[in-house]
Amino acid sequence: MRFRRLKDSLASRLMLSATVFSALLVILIAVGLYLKSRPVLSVQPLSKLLFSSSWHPMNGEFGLYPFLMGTLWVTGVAMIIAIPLCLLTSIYLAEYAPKRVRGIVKPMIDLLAGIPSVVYGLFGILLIVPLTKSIASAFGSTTNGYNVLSGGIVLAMMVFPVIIAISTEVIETVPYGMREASLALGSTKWQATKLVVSRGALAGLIAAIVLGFTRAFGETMAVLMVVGNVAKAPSSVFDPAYPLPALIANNYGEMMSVPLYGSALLFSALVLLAVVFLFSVGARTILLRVERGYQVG
Amino acid sequence: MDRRRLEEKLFKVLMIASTFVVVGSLFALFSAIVLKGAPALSLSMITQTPQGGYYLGKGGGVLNAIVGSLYLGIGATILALLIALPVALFLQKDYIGKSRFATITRLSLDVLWGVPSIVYGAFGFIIMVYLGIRASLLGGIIVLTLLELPIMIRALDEVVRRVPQELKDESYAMGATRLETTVKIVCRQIVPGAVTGVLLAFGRGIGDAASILFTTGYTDRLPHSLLDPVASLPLAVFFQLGSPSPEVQQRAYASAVILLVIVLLLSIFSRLLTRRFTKYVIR
Amino acid sequence: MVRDSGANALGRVCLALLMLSLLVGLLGGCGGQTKGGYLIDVYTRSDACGAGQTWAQYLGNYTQDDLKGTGVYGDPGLEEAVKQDRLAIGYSNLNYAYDMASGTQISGIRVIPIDLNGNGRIDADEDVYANKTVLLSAIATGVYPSPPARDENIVTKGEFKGIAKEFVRWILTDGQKYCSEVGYVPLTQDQDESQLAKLGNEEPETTLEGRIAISGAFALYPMMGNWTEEFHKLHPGVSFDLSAGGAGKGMTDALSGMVDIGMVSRGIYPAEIQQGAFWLTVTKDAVVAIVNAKNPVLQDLLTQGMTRQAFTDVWITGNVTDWRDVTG
Repeated sequence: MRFRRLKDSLASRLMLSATVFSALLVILIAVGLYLKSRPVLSVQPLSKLLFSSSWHPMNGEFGLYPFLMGTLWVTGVAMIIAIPLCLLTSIYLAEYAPKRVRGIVKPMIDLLAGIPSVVYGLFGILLIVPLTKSIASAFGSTTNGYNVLSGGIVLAMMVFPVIIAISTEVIETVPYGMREASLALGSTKWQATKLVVSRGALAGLIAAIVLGFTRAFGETMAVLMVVGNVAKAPSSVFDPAYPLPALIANNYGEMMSVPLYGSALLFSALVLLAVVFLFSVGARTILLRVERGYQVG
Repeated sequence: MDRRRLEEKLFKVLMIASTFVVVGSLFALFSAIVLKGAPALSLSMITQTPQGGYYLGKGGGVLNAIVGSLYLGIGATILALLIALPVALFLQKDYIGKSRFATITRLSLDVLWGVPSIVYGAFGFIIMVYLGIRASLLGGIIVLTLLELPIMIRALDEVVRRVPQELKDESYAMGATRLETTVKIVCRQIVPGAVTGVLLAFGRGIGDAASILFTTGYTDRLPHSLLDPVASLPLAVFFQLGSPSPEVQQRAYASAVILLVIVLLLSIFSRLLTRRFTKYVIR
Repeated sequence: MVRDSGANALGRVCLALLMLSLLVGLLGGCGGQTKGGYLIDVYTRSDACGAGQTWAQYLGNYTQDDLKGTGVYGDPGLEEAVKQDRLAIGYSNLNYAYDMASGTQISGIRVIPIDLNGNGRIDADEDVYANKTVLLSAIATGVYPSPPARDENIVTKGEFKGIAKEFVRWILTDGQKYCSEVGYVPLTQDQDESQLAKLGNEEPETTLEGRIAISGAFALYPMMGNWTEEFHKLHPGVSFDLSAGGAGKGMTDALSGMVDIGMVSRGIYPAEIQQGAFWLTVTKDAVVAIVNAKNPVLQDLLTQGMTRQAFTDVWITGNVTDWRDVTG
């Protein structure tokens, strides 16, 4: 008996250290980014860095406002496209799809996760850029195709696998009992799904969406190939934009050979981290409320 | 009564339409790449390393990148799993599930997941320069492990939390310790879901270019040790795309197809393997 | 179960609408050009690169960040963007404007001749764009100005040593004969001698063995790929780890000791020299201005050319926004 307890406490300690390590990682990165940002922070006041629209690094001007707006616009569009599509697809796959369909579609969606970013970008140039050109003309605007909408569509495709894979798992593992209770009361299958299963899975679904969102914030290559990279805050989905990760990816070479530029780039990475942090905190608060409200099992 | 059925039908149509859009976009992506890359796909592409004139469109293949990517992807995923599984299990209610510490850990993992891979690469680079090591397979595996860690932990976490508490209580009632319950009961239950998480992470790791650009280098040879630089399929795609020769650009697409095939094979293979375990899952 | 024919019909209508809109979207996409008129669609490179830097330098004392326009990633990306957009103007490495094998201009793209003397038309001596060979010799003789013709450089920290040094020596001597075939301009006699002098004396090594790590500019990558292969054939004991990644990365890697040789497709900054960059020029190529082959004013454009001032008006000041103003 003693031996089993010993194993238990040993295992607990190992798990604890692994967890502490994982929790510390982000702090290490944040600290590292901060240290690297000190040079540019000492040269320019924080407010100017965040709210100025003037980006001329060779002249020492590092206004990040257009890039912040670019990130928010592109990510926003991507999520507006992705969330409904993913939720509906996950529900279908988990509840309604015949086994064979599920067996084919699930690996295909896993495949989406493994496609390198560059390839998404190429696809974007080949098919999405002309698509947004025609969508724009249908709405009476003009664009050369390199805009927020193109970035958003490509980005949405990139978060599909994450959200769908996790949502499907979560919905599938809602206990049968809940569904059966609802059906026994005379609901249609859809009502059971809408009212009962989704409540049971809500926490997991929100987690899946949050994971999709944060992935979208950080995605670099595919978006930058179709988004236009113009350092001006967009005012419509048909305008070009310049998200923060694109800024870093476009100039990473100069990161270390031109010191102040490099510092500004890593500072923008820190800003991105801060945005993701604020977003995650908000999402987590909602999640906690939901979990407290609906205890499952 | 009619309204409810109408709603059901409507949503069923919407759901099928959504699935169509999702699968359709994947199909469009897949076809676009395959159409562009198929002409360059040949047996020599898979079985040879670059020979003379490869960069100008002549002989050879990307075996160096295939082997390199497999080492990187599998190495990083296994290493990440070794860390992620204990963490995900630790986050159960039985251990620290409800505490502040758990919330903070989940939060920090969410934030970590949002860090662009290029930042991982840049940090990896800085540390490697500081330590005086050159770009190598080991550096790539470590960076990819860190890259995969958040998604793996969070996916496993979601699956572990869904294990019904009654099941665990029954185990405790029979006198099992937490460790025994966790290993014998919980782990069995989570296998199919865990596979999903592992595949997601593997896909992320094997497909990423920015992080390994700085830390793994590139070479035409097959790796002989952990300290050798190693080629990889995403970088093979990246570099070959930048060439003015259309044959080389076609090869870039072919390399992307090879990467897709690897992910697909692994996905099918692991889902087949775990079918045996799915019947044990209790809902 | 009750047959809900009404709901079925609704379902079918929804599906039909979806299919229809997809079809419309696809057809519209195939139509391609949706902009009418003559507004110039300016493109530039989004990634920090030698081509962008060189083009900006040509227009005046500018840097790449001063160039206006939609930023597209990579030379092939910019080329593709110009190919798909009738009203586009862009710039690219000449190897992307001319076919590698045949030497003629790539279909879908036309190179804009530079009106060097500003007389409003392209004279016989300014007409050097017929094919790659003609253009390369114009660059070699200096008829095509430099910038936007540029030196391709390699860089290391401190100095080249050991097998890397001998490899560089080979590049500067026997290696030069491979340049034209791949699409670059070999160094002139004078340049060659001065670079060799800068390199220094021969190392006393007899058999060359080891690994050389190289990374950097995409612009030099195909040439370096060719050079490394040829050198490896001569000295099988020497193997290479070659990656691309951009001029900036080449400089960064070289200065931090990650690679033995960095490829840099632009001039070296003073700040980099201060950090210990030692550089040599190994070949030359050029950046050219390009337009879509279906440009509305193409004929006039080809006979009149554009002056440096005109380029500046398009890319820097934005004073010229209409194709009709370009050709008058």
